[in-house]
Amino acid sequence: MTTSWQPSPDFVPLESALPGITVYAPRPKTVQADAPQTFECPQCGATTKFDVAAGGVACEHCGYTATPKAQAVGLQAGVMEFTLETLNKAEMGWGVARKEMHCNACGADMTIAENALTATCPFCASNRVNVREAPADQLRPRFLIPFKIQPQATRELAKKWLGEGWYHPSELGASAIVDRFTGVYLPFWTFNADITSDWKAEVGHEEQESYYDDEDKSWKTRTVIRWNWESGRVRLDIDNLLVCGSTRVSRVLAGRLEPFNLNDLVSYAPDFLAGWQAQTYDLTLPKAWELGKADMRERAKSACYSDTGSSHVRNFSMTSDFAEETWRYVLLPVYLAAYNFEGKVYQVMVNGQTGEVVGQKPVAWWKIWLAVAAMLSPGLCLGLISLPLLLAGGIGLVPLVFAAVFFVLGMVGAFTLYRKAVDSEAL
Amino acid sequence: MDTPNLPSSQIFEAADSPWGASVQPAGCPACKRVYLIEATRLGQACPQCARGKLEAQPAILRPEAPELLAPFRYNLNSMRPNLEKFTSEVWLRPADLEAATLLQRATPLYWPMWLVDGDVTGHWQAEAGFDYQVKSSQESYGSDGWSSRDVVETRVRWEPRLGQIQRHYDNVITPALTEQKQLLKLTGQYQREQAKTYQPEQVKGAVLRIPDLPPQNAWPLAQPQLDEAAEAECQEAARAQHIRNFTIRADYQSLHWTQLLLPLYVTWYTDDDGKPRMVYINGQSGVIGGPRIASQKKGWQMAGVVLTVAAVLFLLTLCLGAIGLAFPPAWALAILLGVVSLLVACGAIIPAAWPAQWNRTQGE
Repeated sequence: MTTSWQPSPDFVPLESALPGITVYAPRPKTVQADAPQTFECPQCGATTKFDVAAGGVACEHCGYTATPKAQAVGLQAGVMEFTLETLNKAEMGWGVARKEMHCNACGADMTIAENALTATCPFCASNRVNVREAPADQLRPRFLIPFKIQPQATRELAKKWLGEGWYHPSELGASAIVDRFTGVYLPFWTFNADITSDWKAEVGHEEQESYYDDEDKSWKTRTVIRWNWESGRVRLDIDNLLVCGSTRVSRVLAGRLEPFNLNDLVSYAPDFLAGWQAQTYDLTLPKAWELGKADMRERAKSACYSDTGSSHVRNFSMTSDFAEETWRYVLLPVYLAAYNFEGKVYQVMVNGQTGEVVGQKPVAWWKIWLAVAAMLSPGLCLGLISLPLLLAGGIGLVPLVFAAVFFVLGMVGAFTLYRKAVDSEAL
Repeated sequence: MDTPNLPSSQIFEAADSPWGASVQPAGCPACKRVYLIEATRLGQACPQCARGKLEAQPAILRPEAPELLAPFRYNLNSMRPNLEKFTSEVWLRPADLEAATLLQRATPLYWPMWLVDGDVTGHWQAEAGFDYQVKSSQESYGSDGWSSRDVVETRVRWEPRLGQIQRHYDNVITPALTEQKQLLKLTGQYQREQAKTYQPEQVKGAVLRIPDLPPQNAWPLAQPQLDEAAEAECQEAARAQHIRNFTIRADYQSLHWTQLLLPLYVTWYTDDDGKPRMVYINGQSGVIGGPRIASQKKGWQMAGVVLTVAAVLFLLTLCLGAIGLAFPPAWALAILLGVVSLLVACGAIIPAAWPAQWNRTQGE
């Protein structure tokens, strides 16, 4: 062999399948340390945590701050393909959970929640980040959006939100809910796909046609629908569809938290999680992708319906080919709270990036029923007045028509209000 | 890297009998090709150009006998049906393009390829491709709602690889004739597995073609072949399914050059102008190749015959026309005959134009 030749230091030897030939490959990227990491101030030894205002790990005692070693990646954050290998590993979930951790600061052993990525020692209050061994490196958290909303701000945001809407209990704004928000990094999957859909349907086009009315002895026009078999192709590029990877929070509420601005994505660093709660996914990639795909295909179906150019469509069928499907696993900042009101538990969430507040709000149903009565009463009253007038001499016909119109409008308004109220309490 | 040490050739005089066979060097003054032939073939037409006669002359060649020889698997008589098919596909062929003539003139000939052995020592770099599978899906919507079908697609992940190599390669095939590519194009590939160790008695009665690319000239062609063999092994060593952008910097040592002799029948016919046209028959697979030139002369002759027939028909048309003056129903026959004579005259274009069109498809 030529002795003077040396491989680049970035390359490491691999096992060769043939004698007489050596093989070198690029050194694998360093895998995130599996060992839990403790956050202590290098100046005073006190416990440190990520401070939203400082934008880094900070010590409350001596004012020490350190910026996380993370890279702003935004939408350029690397995406993964749906390889069979990854999907098979993803089926296994997050692997064996580490349920016990040893605190290096005080030596205590503590028990941590099954899905927790972080923990605070109950004896010495030291903050620890606990990234467990994943079945594949791709399934570790690789990107996150840091908290932008300070914990103190959630109180004002929640107060404002609770004050919105007249049909909630008046005492709601004065409840102690504002003191109970917890900042949590929730796991989310993001999905991208290019979808090509071929559709076929009978599409009806409205046309005006003239006809001779034998009774009126005159020519009139009427609208008819001409049905034709038509087909088309629609291409849809869906980017960054979010699916919450935690089954422990309401999917409905998590959906209402959107949008998150993914331009703020940064590469994962444990510093961001110091002193905050963070969860790993328990909705596996294949299951989350099924949910994402169902959403995407409905969007493709809507796009195909729009492509028909008509509101009259029947015998509709379509086939969607998915291509360039990719995914990311990210952690997104959310404040969570749960509270009791009249014996019922309600959930509230605050988008830790935008400050958007969503959640369940109890409804004062007597206000709803009063409003429904108020909406229906004009129509009913006018109808009651018009009926005797109609019997008296036929002058009640006009009020009766108005009564019918008011009643229908009242019904629509009442139904809308009712749905809104039910949604407000729903999970 | 430097050019390695290459073996030199040696001059053999006209009377010498190299390689243990009763053959002597001879050449064609017309095409300058050099052969080893039996003395009885002196004065015969050159088997590969048929324009000159073989004359005894000195030859430059490697003194070692060939290492391997692929024997003839077909004798000439068994090739008759194939040759008849080969010639009969030409509609207006020259009189000389007949199976019997080709068989009569056929000469068995062995032509050489270099077999190069050597050590390759150096370092290499490439992109290795590894297959992986991704799952995609096709969603269909119809009267029964949504249905889903998984689609698995194989993709290639390219990764850089590099390393050192110290390997020995045996019998790497390298051209020994400048016209090797053309010969293989005409008669197809040979199966090396059928080659056997060279024995002088195997070449009895055959003409042996001497390489016109000595090792010094063939080395630029041999080096890429060695690199190609190294590339395939580096791919295997890296456990990759694909390889691309392969580069190697290597020393080529202990080179050993021998020959592989391949069987070929060579025959010829003359075209309209009396120019010999070569036909090659792969002695191993029986594949026949070579230009099949159509006879333009025959084409003109046939066109002339057709035009004569048309002229006769036209004369008959005129006669019937004249009769029609006295007997009007004859006009109908005259018109019909006139149209037929016109059509026949037009048909003369076919034999006139066909040879040129056919010959355009036949390479030299």
